[in-house]
Amino acid sequence: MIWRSLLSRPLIVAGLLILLLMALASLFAGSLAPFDPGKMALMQRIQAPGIAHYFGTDEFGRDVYSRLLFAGRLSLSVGVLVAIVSIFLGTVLGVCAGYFRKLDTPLSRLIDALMAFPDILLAIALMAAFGPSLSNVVIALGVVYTPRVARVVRAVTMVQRELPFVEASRSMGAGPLWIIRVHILPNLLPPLLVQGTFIFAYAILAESALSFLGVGVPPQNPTWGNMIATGQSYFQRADWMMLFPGAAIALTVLSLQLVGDALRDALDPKLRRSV
Amino acid sequence: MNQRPIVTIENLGVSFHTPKGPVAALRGVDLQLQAGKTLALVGESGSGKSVTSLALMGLLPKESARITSGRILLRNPQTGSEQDLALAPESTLRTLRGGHIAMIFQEPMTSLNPLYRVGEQISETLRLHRGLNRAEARKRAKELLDLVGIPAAEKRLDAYPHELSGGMRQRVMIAMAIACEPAVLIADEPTTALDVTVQAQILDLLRELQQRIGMAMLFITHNLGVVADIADEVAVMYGGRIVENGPTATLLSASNHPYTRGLLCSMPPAVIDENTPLRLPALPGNVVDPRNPPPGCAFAPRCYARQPVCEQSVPTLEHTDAPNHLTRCFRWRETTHA
Repeated sequence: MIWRSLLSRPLIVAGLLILLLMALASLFAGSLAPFDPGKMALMQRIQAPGIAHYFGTDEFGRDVYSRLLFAGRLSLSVGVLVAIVSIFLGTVLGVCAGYFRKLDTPLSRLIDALMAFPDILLAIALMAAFGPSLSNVVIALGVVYTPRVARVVRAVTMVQRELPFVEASRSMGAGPLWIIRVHILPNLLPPLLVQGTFIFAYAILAESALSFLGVGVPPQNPTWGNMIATGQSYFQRADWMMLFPGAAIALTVLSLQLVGDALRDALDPKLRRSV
Repeated sequence: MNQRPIVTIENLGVSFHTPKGPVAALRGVDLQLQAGKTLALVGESGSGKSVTSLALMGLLPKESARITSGRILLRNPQTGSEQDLALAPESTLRTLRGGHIAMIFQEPMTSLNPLYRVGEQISETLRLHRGLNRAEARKRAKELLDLVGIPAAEKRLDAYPHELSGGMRQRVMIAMAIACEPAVLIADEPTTALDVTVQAQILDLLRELQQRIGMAMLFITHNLGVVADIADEVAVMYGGRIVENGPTATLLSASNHPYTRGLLCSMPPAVIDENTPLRLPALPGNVVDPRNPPPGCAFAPRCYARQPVCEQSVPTLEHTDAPNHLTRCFRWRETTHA
């Protein structure tokens, strides 16, 4: 049902294919990359794209194409991990706030407070506190996107907990944990799936922004973001250093957004187009 | 036989907190449920029927509702000991719900979770209370579906709720409710959403199960036809109080509370002849405003027999001449044969 709805639209299929391609390329970066991404070749600094180096070389003579493949690994895993962290934290917070009335006010204010900070500023503050590393980027961005998830989860939980079958379950002697596990969590799945794809996309952008600003993943591990950051200084002479990682980010985020939108439509029976 | 009731509700008062101050939903309710017997609780919307059943289940919304007076005594049929549910902690109530007291809801369409197969939903109760594993619970669920008269039970276990008709779903709900052979079954308008033939089948089924398990049943309805069919005893509620209580036959044929009489008169007659009025008589006025109840008898503003005394003080539930028949009216003697 859902698959048919997704596959009936060419744009969505394109989005899914691009994502698949990106994922496979990162996964098999080791065998696809013609060069070692960290190997410097000072004689071949800043060479334009050509037969030898498909996407050119950077200021240390490293192959941009190979670096792009390996950077994809990090950028995509940051996206996935951030989505997982924020969905986990957001679900815990949201379910507690939505199900237990007494916790609603304190938790909702906490969520509001987190939301009041501009995303990137909060991430920078957290990175400054934790220090730059891959896992800290994931934690910081996970915290930043938690409120978005928590809000959606809280709203869905509040609707679910009042449904007759939940009351029926309560009348059979079910406690809150049982009801949350059996009746509420499964109904959270569709909205979480949609939120997850969007957060995936935002996280890739935010990681790039953090790396660009110099508080993200340390530069010895290439990510699309820090490739753009270093390429920036050479933009006049070597635009390919920024162009290719930029295009990779744009394509990935675009595909994710397309798929997320389509998922939202497909999972919402009211928006589902009859095929 | 022990004639002590399974459930004794005494002087139960429940009020809800609202922004405009507390609102009394129940103002002193007395009820008794006997093992193997059915008590029908009758009254119009807002009279307190559902609040009474929720209080008995311990399912009143904790945030807004409070039990202000009275006791709800549940007797354990095995040990004979009694327990006051009004004071019991949530953990105790949780073990009692589904095990000792079960409930069937009005809407079979929405009382089942659409995401789960019905077999899984019946197993839920068994796994909660009896600690059965999946296979055992499934076996018992099949027996229960057989018991509530669902054909091809084995196959139906794997059906989703949307694949079943309303009557079937209500049977599934009943199977869930009786899974642990409760001592008390509360049925909150279980047949309202069903068509008339299915209604009759469900009533037959409930009666049959009651005889089998020996449970006491509290049957909430506003359908007096259903009352005549299933109840041993009837309690009529109005404005958060019981206004009349007695054996079904007495109440339906020789009621002497003006409200009950009004309800009976507003039923369409089974036989229509030249004496039938063109319009059904209706009770004048509206249901009591619980925020602003009248100081005297709650029904006085709508009563054809009211006297000045009715508007000043609340009548008590008095025994009438008929056995086990109680009525809350100053003037029941005059209205009996009016």
